[in-house]
Amino acid sequence: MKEIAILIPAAKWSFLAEEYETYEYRRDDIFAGWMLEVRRKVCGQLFDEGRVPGRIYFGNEFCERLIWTEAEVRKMAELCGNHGWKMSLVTPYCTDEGIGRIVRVLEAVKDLEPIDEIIVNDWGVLYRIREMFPRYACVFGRVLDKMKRDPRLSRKEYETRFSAEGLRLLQSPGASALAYREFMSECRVERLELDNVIQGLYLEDIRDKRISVYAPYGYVTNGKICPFAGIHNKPEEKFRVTTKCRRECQDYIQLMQKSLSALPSEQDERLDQVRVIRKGNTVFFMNEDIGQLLRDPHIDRIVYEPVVPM
Amino acid sequence: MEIGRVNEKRKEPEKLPVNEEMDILAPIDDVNQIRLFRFMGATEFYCGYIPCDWFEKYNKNMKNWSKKDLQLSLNRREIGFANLVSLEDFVRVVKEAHECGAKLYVTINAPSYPEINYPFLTEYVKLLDDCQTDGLIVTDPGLLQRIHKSVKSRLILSTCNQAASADAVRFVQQLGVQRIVFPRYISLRQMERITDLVPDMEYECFILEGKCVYDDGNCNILHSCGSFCSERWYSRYYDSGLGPVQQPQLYENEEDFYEFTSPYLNTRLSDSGWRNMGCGICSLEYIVKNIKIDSLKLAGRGLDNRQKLKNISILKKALDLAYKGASARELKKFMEKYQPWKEICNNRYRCYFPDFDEQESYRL
Repeated sequence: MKEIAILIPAAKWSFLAEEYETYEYRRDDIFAGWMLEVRRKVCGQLFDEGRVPGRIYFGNEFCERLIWTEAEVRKMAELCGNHGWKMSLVTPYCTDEGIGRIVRVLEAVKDLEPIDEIIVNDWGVLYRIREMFPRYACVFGRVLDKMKRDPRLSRKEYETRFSAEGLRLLQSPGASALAYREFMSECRVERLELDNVIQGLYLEDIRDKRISVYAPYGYVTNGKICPFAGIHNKPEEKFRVTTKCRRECQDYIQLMQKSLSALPSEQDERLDQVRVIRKGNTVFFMNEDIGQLLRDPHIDRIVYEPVVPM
Repeated sequence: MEIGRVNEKRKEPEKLPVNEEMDILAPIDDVNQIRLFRFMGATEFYCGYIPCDWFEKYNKNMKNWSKKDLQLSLNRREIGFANLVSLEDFVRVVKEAHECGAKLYVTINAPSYPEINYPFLTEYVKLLDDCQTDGLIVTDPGLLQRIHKSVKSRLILSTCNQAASADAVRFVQQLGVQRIVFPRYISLRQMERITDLVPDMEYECFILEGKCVYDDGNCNILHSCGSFCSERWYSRYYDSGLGPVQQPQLYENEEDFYEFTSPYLNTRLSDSGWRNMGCGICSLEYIVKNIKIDSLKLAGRGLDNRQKLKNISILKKALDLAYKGASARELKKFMEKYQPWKEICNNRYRCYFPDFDEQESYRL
């Protein structure tokens, strides 16, 4: 039986822990409608057969300025405790400053019962948690997985444009290598997380580790420079690692569209529309095909994202 | 407040330089570059070497591949001609570097290698080691795990691994890493803190060229499909509940971001110019005085020779000035003669360390 987790990226979305299935975005135009349609399809496949979540993921993987506060974690832990859900705290790629914030919060909440896992997306965070909080299970988050995730190609294009070995390379996570899994074992990590990439996942080699996959959003690219931070600043005060932000990423979503896939192609299978979503410092794709996630026995947890995970 | 103190300038305590001599690390992609670049001032080299069997196995229909983008590269540089491709050339490059008293490092820095790559990688790493390569630039922790106890070459953590904290450095130290290449986006203060906290490590930072928009290690697009960052998209903005938002400032900001991403995209300059695709020259004053950087990296495998030579020459002159005590203001003035578009320097869009003047004593 696959475990279902719900990802709550920020405190303001806490209510989705209970309303993950019924919450509806407003649907004001066709462009946004695409996003809602994908989400609806995934939601339907995932929950139609009576599956229910047993775990909440709380936090985001992409920006250290969005690390949870102690109060936010306590509130979410209380909600999880009331429902009998386990809780995973999600942590981002970090500088020393971000690691300091994580440590301070974990010191304060380390006795909260539902929290049994930390999703790490940075080697420094892993090092510090292993040193200071050995009781938590650490999970290699999806930012540590470096598979290509280019949404500008359709599944068919992936299958026809690359050699058989090339496609296998694109479908295989780094953890398919025995050396990588030995590295995981040395880190005392038993679970890794992946995005539901367009080209499909080849997981046959990974029998001795547990795998979670996120749906319907996957991340394409991410950076320390946030296009949304300081939107109202003068140009020369934007796009720096030190630019002050007012969490503009929590206010806006940018839907981006191109009329054709990236490659000139004589094939019929090319995409007629490429759509991605930018939120803050990260660009996301959506994949409505979760058939493999439901069928593949190597995947034992699906992390459902009711909203863009930022 | 004591009378008479008001207008007195506060003197910064005199800091002794922490860096007496940093290496200049230059990219090469041709066997004839070593001696010339060494003569111009480069003291270390790095390159990619991709044997033909990799091309044939992982790239489809790649006739005349050396002129094309690779579908799937062995390292992070996907342009065919940015890599050496013959073993004979590679051996000669190592030999010439050593004859010139320089070190040569090889990039094996694809973000990850799945199991199907390992039969090839095992042989490949052994070959590089046997050729007396001085260092291997690696990203994948699985590969580090596999080779760190057996290779003679030094292990260098690629910028693609995104080590941005002292804890991350301590972590990879356990995997035998002896040098860190800092991420492209990191502040001077963060580098200073890391190098202070973990001094028993070598450090390298970018100084000219190649300032990608996204973090190398967290950018998962296929370069062979075109660069994602400079593509134009049709956009619409929504609030977090997905109601449309029509603020003009959002679209203006998007234009600013495109300008940040690729100012004067694809513009080529004459011999006298310099295209400025990333520059941290002004920060040399701060680096020399405060940060234990061992090597300054020039990005640009695949650039033409003139551009590479210009970068080495500029950096060598600037570094000599910094060693003699040149201020950030003087270094900026030095760079002005190479800057055809001064606004790029002034708006800091191509600046590697735009925080260099965010401390009072370094204000220009």
